[in-house]
Amino acid sequence: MIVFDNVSKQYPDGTMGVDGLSFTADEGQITVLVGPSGCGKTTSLRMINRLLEPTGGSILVGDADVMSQNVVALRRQIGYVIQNSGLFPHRTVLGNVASLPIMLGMSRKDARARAHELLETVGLDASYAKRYPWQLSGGQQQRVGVARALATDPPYMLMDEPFSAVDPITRAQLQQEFLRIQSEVGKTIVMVTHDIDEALTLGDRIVMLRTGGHLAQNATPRELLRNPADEFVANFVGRARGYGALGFTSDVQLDIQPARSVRIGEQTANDDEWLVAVDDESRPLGWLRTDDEGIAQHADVEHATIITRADGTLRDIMDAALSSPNGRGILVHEDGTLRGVITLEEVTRAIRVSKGL
Amino acid sequence: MGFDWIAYNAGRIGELTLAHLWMTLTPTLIGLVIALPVGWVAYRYRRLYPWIVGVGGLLYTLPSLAVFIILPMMVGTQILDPINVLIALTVYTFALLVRSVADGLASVSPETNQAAEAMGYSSMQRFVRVQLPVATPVIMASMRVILVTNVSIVSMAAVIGVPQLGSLFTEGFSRRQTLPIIVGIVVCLILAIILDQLVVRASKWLTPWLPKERA
Repeated sequence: MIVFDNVSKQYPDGTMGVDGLSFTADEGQITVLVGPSGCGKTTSLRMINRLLEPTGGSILVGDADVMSQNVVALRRQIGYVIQNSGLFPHRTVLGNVASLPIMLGMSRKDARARAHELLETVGLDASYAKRYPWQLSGGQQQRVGVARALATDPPYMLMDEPFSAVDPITRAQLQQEFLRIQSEVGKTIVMVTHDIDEALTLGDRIVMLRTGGHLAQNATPRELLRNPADEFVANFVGRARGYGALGFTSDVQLDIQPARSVRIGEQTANDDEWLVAVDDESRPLGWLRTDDEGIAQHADVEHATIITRADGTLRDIMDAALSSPNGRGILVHEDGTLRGVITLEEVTRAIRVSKGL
Repeated sequence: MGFDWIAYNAGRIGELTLAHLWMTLTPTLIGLVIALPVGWVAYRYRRLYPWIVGVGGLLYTLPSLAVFIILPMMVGTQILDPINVLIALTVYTFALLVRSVADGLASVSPETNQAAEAMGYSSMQRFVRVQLPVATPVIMASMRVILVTNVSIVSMAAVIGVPQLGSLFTEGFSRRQTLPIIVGIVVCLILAIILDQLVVRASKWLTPWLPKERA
């Protein structure tokens, strides 16, 4: 647990970087500090591992005030990931990940074995182990940065705009993989971002700051979208309040209809209708239009359709329906097998119900 | 006078070469050892940087011949003592190198420094494990210049009677013979080329991470 208690940071010239900030980052959760530039989010983050020191209030990491802890000991229980990775340019990928464990006395063999494991965890192929940072893409460097931060298995992680410097596709991919890793390691994480979508995607809790280092709102993503505290928060959340707000699992019962499906390679009925093409394991591939007494073939499948899980968020299900060539979204079970289809009308009905309309 | 002169003096040329080599390498290494911590101070405390680098630049402008003569008066050594040459060359090496060390250390990206600090590296551990290795190419580039320069400056010591390859120049001049001078120049040149190549090799060996074409 990391606790901010009325924390302030005043610079020598009198300006306040952070002003009376209080919040709690719960054990095993991702707490995201978000806000416009100059809101003190990075300053707040850096005060946790004492790269900066607070001028007022106290920050607890574990049970003790950071200022009363030995600074090196404090930092060694906190993994740190930053925007441009900050890898050691003179060390290989493996060397970067193994460097801190080796410095702390782990045998080279064990440290390298652990580093190999971590590279696998962050989804970096073993063939990259001997490369140097300059030989990697930005996204790959960030993966190494995360692996390095996890190397000593610290209970806490601080992440400063970790996915901001990569392209949008890589970013979305890294975010999803990061959530998968976090579900395995369960670290207490404080992350900084200026990107509200990233905050909503990754945060268990969002601490929104306004310019001057004041707390604007401290809420779960769902609360933040439903009840923004004021105009500033509402504006910052912006368009995410609409469509983005559907990105939470809802408990509305959906009317899912059975789907007519056809296995690839089978004879299709000749009655000009849309069928769900499935593979040998009954996993849907997309919609397929039947025509002249043909065989269902891969080439005829409309792959543009988004296929999503029936227990997914309304946003995912809406995407499935919208991307379908016939207004019906294909839904699957947890194991990827065909569950059924849902109409666009049924999705909008569910949205109305979930909003209490 | 010809090849038989060389054959007859081969032993002495060898001795002079060894003396020359020793007088080049020792101050270069001592200068490096002093420049590392002082360069770190110039890097770490930016306000001191212009002073340290300024003094370095100033020292380097001192004419070597004058230093060889003034040094004994300042430090109380005998005027013919080879130690004067060693001290003077150490000063030159330091003067040139201190700036490279400071600039090389500063070439570590702020992100890398910050990451190391946040990982709990002490400033000493950062220096040894991160900054110094990253600064190596910059420092080694300076070492090449310094070694070659020192090979040439050492020969000046012949004027104050300290034996090394420069002695062949003074002898050649006083006896109006060209051959000793040519032999001196050629051996100096070979020495400089060998030392330069050794530094190039060492630099490559120490910096395996650099792209091949840059190393």
